[in-house]
Amino acid sequence: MNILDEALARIGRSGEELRELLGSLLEGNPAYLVGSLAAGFGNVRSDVDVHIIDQESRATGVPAMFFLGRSIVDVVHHRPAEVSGAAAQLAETWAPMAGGICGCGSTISRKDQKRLGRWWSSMPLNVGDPPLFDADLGDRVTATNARGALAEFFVYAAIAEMIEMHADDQAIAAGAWRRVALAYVELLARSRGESFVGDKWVWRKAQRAGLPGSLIDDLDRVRTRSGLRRAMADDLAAVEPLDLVVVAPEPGESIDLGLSSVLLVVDRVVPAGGHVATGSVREEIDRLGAAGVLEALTHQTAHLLADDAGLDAVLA
Amino acid sequence: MTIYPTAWILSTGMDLAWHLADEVEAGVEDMDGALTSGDLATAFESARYTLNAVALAWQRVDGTPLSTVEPEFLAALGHARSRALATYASWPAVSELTEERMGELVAEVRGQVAELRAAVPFELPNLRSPDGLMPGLRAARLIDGLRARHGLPPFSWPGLMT
Repeated sequence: MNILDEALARIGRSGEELRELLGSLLEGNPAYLVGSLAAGFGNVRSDVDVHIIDQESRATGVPAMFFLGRSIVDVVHHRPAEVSGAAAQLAETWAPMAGGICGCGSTISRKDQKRLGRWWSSMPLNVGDPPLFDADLGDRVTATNARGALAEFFVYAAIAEMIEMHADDQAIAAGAWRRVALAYVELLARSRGESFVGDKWVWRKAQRAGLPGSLIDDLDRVRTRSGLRRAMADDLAAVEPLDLVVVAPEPGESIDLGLSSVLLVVDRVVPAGGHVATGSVREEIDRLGAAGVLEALTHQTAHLLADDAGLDAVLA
Repeated sequence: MTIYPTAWILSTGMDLAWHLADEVEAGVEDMDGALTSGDLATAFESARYTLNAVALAWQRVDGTPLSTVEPEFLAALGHARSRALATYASWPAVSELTEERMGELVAEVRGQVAELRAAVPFELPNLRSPDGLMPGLRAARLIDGLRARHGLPPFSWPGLMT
């Protein structure tokens, strides 16, 4: 049985059945199984994700949906330039981190991390179609994936710090710190070669990456900031997340209504005075309170980013 | 019988109905799939996802925009001081899970999904299922026609884009 058939066997199907279903869509264009099944996970209820690489401008981002029995098959078209663009974003330098490696320089977006993870672990549907990425890019892919997880870990930790300030309830903060520890497990797995796949697979990834069971278990028992620092097995524990994370408003339009001014952000109106400014999340907490920053994130009028220069300093 | 304003139904009500059909039901499907495969750890994470998705739906009723994007997801739960975070903290470590304990957690989450379903003004067919696709498309055409008559843009169907 080839690896494509092995992957599809988890939903009780075969490569031949998938090729028959997609028929003429596959003519002349390389097509790939991506997502959890291609990454070695997935189960009987998993969707089948297929990416077709073609020169036609059919890359709308909207998947065409098919059914293979009761399994959903999502087919998305991408242009070759998107794949080469993802390869061009790969980290060129990296540093040792947490038992693995992590990229230096810049962090790619979550959407690009998702694509990179899918394309790196993709499987050609047709014998003879070339792999989307050369195998010798492995370290660069790992470094890029880990960099994304590192940035996200500090963003989660900054949010947990704000929840701790705002919630005034240790049981609620405990759930936030447990989520931060999960982000750290993801970071450890990615620094050892795992890719971005759905969050629900984090324990399977940790196991495949060879993380010690006792370390994973310690992290899963984290319910406080100090508990997280004790469980983390590296120097990252000493970094203050609020020093590494910046807040940025979503672009919006300011309108002066005479008696008040408001910002139009996304599809909402927010009072101008309550809007976050670009800069240190710590300074915005001082100005608006942790609740004000959390509210801006909740209403999607602002987002958090880990500062790339700060991350590089941590890695150095 | 509860009577809802048309504008509410076409905006908040639609958000809730689609969130239930897409995000919440996907979480339940993931829980079931992982359990069927004997993968308790993945079932656990799917249960966490579903718990959070239900909590965010209740926040939508109170006027909070819906987003299941991580990590803003966590900020939204924290800002609302959601008990879903406390519930997650109280759940056992994955290493301690047994089939029986996981079954209890799944039942707990299913109970929350049922409460949400009872509170949502209407349900949409699940577009992402063989049985729901055609009825779902018919419902989508009807909803978008109503939205157009009330001067609203077509519904964005979040989650369908990749």
